[in-house]
Amino acid sequence: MNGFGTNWFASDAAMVGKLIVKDWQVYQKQLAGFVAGLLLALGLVGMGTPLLAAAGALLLLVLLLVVGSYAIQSSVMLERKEQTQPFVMSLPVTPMDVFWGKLLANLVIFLVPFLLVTGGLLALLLTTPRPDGAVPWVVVVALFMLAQFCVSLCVVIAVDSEGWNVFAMLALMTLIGPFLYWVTWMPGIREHLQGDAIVWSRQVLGLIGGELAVIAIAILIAGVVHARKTSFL
Amino acid sequence: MQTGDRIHHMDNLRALAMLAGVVFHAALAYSPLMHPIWPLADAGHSILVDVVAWFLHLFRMPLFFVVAGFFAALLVARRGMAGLFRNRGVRVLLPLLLFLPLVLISMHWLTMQAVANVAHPSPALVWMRDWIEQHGALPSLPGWAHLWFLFYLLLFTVLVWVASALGLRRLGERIATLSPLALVLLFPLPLGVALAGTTAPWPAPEFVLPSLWAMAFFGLYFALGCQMFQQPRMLDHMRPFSWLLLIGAAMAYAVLFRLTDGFALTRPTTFRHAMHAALEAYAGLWMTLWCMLAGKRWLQQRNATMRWLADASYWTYLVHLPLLFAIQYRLLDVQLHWAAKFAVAVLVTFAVSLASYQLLVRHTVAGRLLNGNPAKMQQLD
Repeated sequence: MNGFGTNWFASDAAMVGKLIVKDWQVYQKQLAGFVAGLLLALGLVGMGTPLLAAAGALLLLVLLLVVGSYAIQSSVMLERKEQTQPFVMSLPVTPMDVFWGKLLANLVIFLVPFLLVTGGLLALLLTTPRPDGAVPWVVVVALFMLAQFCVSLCVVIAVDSEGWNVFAMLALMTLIGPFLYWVTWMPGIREHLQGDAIVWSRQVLGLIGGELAVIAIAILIAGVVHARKTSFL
Repeated sequence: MQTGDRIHHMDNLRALAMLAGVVFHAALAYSPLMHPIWPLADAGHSILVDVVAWFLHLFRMPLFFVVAGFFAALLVARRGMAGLFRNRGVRVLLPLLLFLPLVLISMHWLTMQAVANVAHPSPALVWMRDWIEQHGALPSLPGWAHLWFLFYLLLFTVLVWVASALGLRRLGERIATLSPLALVLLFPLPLGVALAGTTAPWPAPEFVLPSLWAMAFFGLYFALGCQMFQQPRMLDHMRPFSWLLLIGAAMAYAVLFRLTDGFALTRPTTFRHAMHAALEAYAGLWMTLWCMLAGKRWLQQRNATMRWLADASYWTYLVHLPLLFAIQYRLLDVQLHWAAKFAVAVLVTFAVSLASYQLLVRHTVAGRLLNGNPAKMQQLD
């Protein structure tokens, strides 16, 4: 059962579901804390004063980064480090069941706050006099955050090295600042940011396509690496 | 409390809180305070309307959120957290998604008709007329309208899960074990802090994003309702203070009304603003608790009319504002005393909403959506 010839899909969808529920239950306390923080941040934005809105927006971004890295750290890296991962060997699961379980559980844990934040920001733009032209910018930045999370997660799943995992996470986080600057000043985005028209320019569509491709490639590579593994560990 | 028992006084209190919303919103047209900004504002108005309507405003929605918190805790106890989410999804999220567009579109259409046709427009309609003449259309500022409470109920459902996951139940239990006197004196303090984040009287948090003050303010009432379910004797312990609560609330409101010059004071100092917020909090909480006590005493028994009214109240609340818009825009051009117009607006709105509930909703899919399975409801009765 090695390499590209292996069954890429989970052998038991119900078991994958149980693994997802297990991770959800283990980390729901922390997730609840993050959701409370996100609601607080949205509430700050909703107060309408520039200072509180800026503080809320910053808190949203920070919490989104923290929730992603925390989920990855605790549900994959920590299980390896504390050697609690081998418990899965006692279950009737294949390595690919575990792969899909980890991938989907982390995505679910991340997507709850991610959708809350992205949906909140889009709602704010679309339903207030703020320029709607910033919608594509928000979508591009949000997808970048999602891609950054997916790549970090896939690296952690694929690479058995804490050092490389930490390096990958930090490197990807460091890219957020330059990326924000780059897309804000990019032709095809910059000139529409203050306008009311939502323009899906060639550059915006290209970026969205690229981000989705990065997510797909990261999952594909992590899957291939995982499928080549001869054991769970 | 046995599983399956219907808690009549809570159902009835919720219905009364919702139906009071119809009276409150109808009264805004004759409120001197709202005259410059409310599109339905009538030329005839009276300070009496402000005195009564804003008093009602202080405890109407807080009472609703206490009841909502009580039922949320009941749902968790009977059906678990997943049951609560399923129930809120069907009873709150779905009606919000279905009715919000209809409500917003109908109110916008009625307002545009009024802008074009009303001969004696309110100051807000005059402003809209001028704006449209200059810019071609009104600025788009959609929010939750009067359905904002459904949005907040959904937020509080999420926060019930958050509180449960973080084990905050023990904190609530500790607070609930405070002596009744300490509770009625101390609980308004955090409410006052929340109210200090907004104007007095507190506005409806209709903005599309949640406001922090509203989350804290209504959230505290919601949490109080949850605790009232967890500690059924909590309310009974307050019974000896019942009349003191009513008198205290009336006095706090009177002082607030006097200090704010009928809420007309727009730029108070920080100290005075904090004092107004505290008075609002005390008056609101004490009236809410008095209503809970009165409800438990006088609305506890099974009553077919109240049962029907309780079922009809959700539908009535959903549709009442567009109905009021339709009626009160027409009344702007009618020569009548404000009190007569007010009575007509309230009576016609109630008549149309209740009749439409009986004829179009009660025995249809919409009725099941708003009130649940009729067979199950009958079983509970």
